[in-house]
Amino acid sequence: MTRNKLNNILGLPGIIFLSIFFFTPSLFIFRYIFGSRTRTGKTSFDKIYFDSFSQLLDFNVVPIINKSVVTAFFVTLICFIVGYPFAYYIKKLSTTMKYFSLFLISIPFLTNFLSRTYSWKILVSKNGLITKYVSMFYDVSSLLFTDFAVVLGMVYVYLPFMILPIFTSLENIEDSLLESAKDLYANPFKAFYYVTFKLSLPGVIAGVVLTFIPSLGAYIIPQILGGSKSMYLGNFTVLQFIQASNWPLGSLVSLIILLFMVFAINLLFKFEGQRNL
Amino acid sequence: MNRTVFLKLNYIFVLIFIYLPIFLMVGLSFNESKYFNQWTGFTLQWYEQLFQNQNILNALYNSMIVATVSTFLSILFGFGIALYLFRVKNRFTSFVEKFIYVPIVIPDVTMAAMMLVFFIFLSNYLEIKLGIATTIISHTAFNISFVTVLIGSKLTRKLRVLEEVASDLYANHFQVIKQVTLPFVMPALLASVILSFVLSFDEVVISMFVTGPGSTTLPVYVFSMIKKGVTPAVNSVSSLMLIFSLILVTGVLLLSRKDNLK
Amino acid sequence: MKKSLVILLAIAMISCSTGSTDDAVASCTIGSVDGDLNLYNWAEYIDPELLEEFETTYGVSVNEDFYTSNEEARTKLQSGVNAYDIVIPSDYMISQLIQDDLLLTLNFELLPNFSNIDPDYTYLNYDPENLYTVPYFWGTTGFGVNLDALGVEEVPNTWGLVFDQELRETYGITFTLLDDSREVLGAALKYLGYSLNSVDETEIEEATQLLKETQDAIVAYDSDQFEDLIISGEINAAHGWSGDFFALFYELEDQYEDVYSSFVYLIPEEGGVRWTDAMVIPSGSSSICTAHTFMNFMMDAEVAAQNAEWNAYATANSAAKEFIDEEMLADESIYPSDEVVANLEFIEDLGEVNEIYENKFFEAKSSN
Repeated sequence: MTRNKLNNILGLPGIIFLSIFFFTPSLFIFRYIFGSRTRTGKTSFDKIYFDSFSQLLDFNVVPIINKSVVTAFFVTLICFIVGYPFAYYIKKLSTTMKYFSLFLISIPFLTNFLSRTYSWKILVSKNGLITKYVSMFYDVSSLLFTDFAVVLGMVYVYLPFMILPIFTSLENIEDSLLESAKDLYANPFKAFYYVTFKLSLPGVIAGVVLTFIPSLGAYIIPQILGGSKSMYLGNFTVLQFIQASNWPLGSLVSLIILLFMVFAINLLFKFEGQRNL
Repeated sequence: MNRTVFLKLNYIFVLIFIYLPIFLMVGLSFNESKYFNQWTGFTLQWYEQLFQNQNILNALYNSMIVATVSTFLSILFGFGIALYLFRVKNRFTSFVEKFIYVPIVIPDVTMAAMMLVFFIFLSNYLEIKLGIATTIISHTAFNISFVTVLIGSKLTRKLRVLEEVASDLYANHFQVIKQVTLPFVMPALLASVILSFVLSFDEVVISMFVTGPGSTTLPVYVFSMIKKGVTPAVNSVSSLMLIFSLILVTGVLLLSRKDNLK
Repeated sequence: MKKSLVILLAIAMISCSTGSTDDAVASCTIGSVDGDLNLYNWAEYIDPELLEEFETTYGVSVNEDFYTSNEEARTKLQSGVNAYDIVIPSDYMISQLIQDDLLLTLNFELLPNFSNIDPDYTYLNYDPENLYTVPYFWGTTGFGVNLDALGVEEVPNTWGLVFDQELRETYGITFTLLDDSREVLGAALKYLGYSLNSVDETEIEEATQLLKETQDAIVAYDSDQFEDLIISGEINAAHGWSGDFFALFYELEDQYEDVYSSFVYLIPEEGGVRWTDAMVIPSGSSSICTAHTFMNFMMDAEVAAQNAEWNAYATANSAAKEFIDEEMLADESIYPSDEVVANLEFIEDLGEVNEIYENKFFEAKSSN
C-alpha cells in the first residue's frame, strides 16, 4: 500500500509540471484555431470563427505537404541506408573503438546546429567542395538553394538520430543468438535477415521516427539551404505565425502536423505491442 | 563487393561526411578575411573580438543558466515519471506513456507559439514577463520527455528482478532506489544529462518566442548574427562551444567510468 | 487544487514590478533615469560605442535584444508579456502597433533634442500627429549590382533587370530578392507602373503573375545574406536595403582598386521604396524615464552623426549633418536627390489588404 503511494508520488511532480506547462498550453491551439485574424494581425475570439479552415482550403497546401513528406521520406531513407551499416559495423568493433566511434558521431550534436548548417551552405555554394565534386558528374555550377542541398543538410543533422537507436538495439542482441542463427541458416544473408535485422527492428523504427518527424517539421534548414524558394511545412507554419501573423491558420496547420505524428506514434506502439506478443 | 570492405568504406564515408563541415567551421574561425571564399591568413582576431563582445558573452551566460537549470529540472521530473511508468501499470499510465512522446514530436514552431500564448494568458492573472524563467520552463517541458524515454528504455525486466531481490533484503524503498535502481540506470541517466543539456543549449525556435529582455540565448543571438551576415565570430563561438562540450562530455564519461570501477 | 497551482506558478516564475505609466512619465525630468534600458533592435543597427557612452553617462546598463523582421518584433510586442523600453520598427509596422494600442505616447518636454529633427521626417502618415515616434534613420530599397561579374561598366537603371526576361538574359543577371512580401510585390507593382501601396486586386494579381513568371530566374528569397552571396559569386545582383550595400562596399574598399566602379547601388527609375525606422516606447516599458532619456541622447547632433557614419544610413537629424563626413552626405545613393525621392513611396499599412500581399507572395513563392 505505502509502496504504491510512493511510486505514485515519484511521477507526480513531473506529471503536474507537464500538465501545467505542456498540456494546458497545447489546449490553446484549439482556442486559436477558432479565432480570426484581425487587420493588424491580432487574433480575435469574440465568437467562433472557421476562417482558418476556409483559408487552408484557399491555400494550395497539398503541394507543400507533398514536398515535405517526399523530402522527409528521402532523408529517412538515406539515413537508414547509410546509418544501418554504420551501426552494424561499429557493433562488431572492440569495446574501446565502439565507444570511441559513438563518441565521434555524437560530437556534431555538441556544436551549434546553426553553424553546422551554415558550413553546409559554404560546401554546396559555388566553388564549394561538394559542388566541385558533384560537378565532375553533373553539369552544375552551384548546389545552393536546391532541394539537394536541403536533403543533404537534413541527412547531416538527423543521421545520428538514426544510428544511435539502431546501435542500441543491435547491442541488445545476444551473441549466442547470432551464433545459433549461423548454424540454423546456411545462407549468411538469411541469418542476418531473420535474426539480426528482425531483432533490431525496434531500433530501426525508433530511428525512422526520430529522423522522419523532425525532417517533416524542419524550418531552419530549408530556410538557410533552400533559400526560402521552396516551401516546406515548417516554413509554412512559421510564415503564418510570424510574417502573416495569422495564428488561427498557423495553429490549424500545427494541429494537422501533430495529429499526423500522434498517428505515427500509435502505429509504432501497436507494432511494438504485436512484437511483444 | 566484399561485405567487410563495404562496411568499412561506409564507416569512413560517414565520418568524413560528419567532420567535413566541422573542420571547415573551425578552420574559418582562424581566417583573417571576413568572407568565407578567400583565405587571407591566420588570425586570432575573431576570438579576441568574441571576448570583447558583451552581447555574445551575455548570451553565452544565459544559455548556460537555461541549459543547466532545465537539465536539472528535467532529470528530476523525467526520472520520476520513468520510474512511475515502470512500476505502476494502469489506464492512466498507459495514457501517460503515449502522451510523453508528444513534446518530442511536436514541431518547434507549434510548441513555441503555444508556450508564448500560454504565457500571455497567464500574464492576465499573474505578473509574468518573458525572460530566463519562461525559457527554462519551455525547455524543461520538452526535455522531460527525452529523459523519460531515454531512462525508460533502460528500465527492463532485469531491473525488476534486481529490485525485488533488493526489497526483500532492504526495508526502505529509498535504499532500493539508491543501491539498485540508480546504479543500474546510471549510463542512461548520464546520457540524459548530456542530451537534455545539448538540446537546450542548441534550441533556437522556441527560445526565439519565449525569451525576453536581456535573456537572449546564444543560438538566438547567433541566428540574428547569421541573419545579418555572418562574421567569423560565429565560427569562433561555435568552435569554442565544441571544445567546451568536448570537455564536458569527456568529464562525464570519465566520472562514470570511475563510478563503474567502484 | 486551483490555489496550489497558482502558488506553484508563482514560485516557478519571477515576477516584475507593476508601474502605472502616467505617473511614471509625470515624475520624469530631462535626463532622468528610472532603471536599466531594454533595447529591442535590428542586429547591428546601433554603434556599440554609443551604447557604452550612454551607460557610463547615465549609470544604467543597456540590454540589447534583436529581431530579424518587423513581423517578429510585432509577435513579441503583441504578446504584451515583454518589458522592452525602446523598439525601432519601420513605418508600416508602427501604424499597426499604434492601432493595437501597443505604444506609449511620448512626452516631448523630455525630448528637447527633437528640435534637431528635420521636419520632413515628422508627422508622417504612420504617426500623423507625431505622438509616438522619433525618427531614427531613413533609407531606400534598391538593387545592388556587381558590374565586374557582369563584365560591363553600367546597367540600365530599371526594375527590368529583374522582371524583363530579355534584359535579364542580355546582362546575364543572377539575383536574389528580399524575403518580404511588400518589398517584392512592391517592386513588381512599380515596374508595372502602379503604386506599391496598390489596393486594387487586379493590379496586385498582375504583379503576382509577373513574379511567378520571374520565379525560375530568382536564385533565392533572402533578406539577410545577399552581401555574402554577392561576394562569393553565387549571384551578381541583389534586391536589398541601401545601408547594407554601402556597408558592403565600404568593407570591400581595400580589395578593389575602385570598388565604386565595380559595384553599383541602383534606385530604379520606375521608383521604389523609401522607408523610415523610428524609435518608440512599447506600452510594457518599465523604465519610461530612461527610455525618454535614451531617445533624447540618440537625437543629440553629434551622437546622431556618429551613428549615421557607423551605419551608412541617412539620418533624419538635420543638426547632425554638420558633423557627418561630407563625402557621405554628397553620396546620392545614401541621400538621394529630390527628384529621385519624389519617385519613392513609403510602404503604407493597408489594413485588410496586407494579408492579400502576404498570401499572393506566398502563392508566387510556392509556384513551380
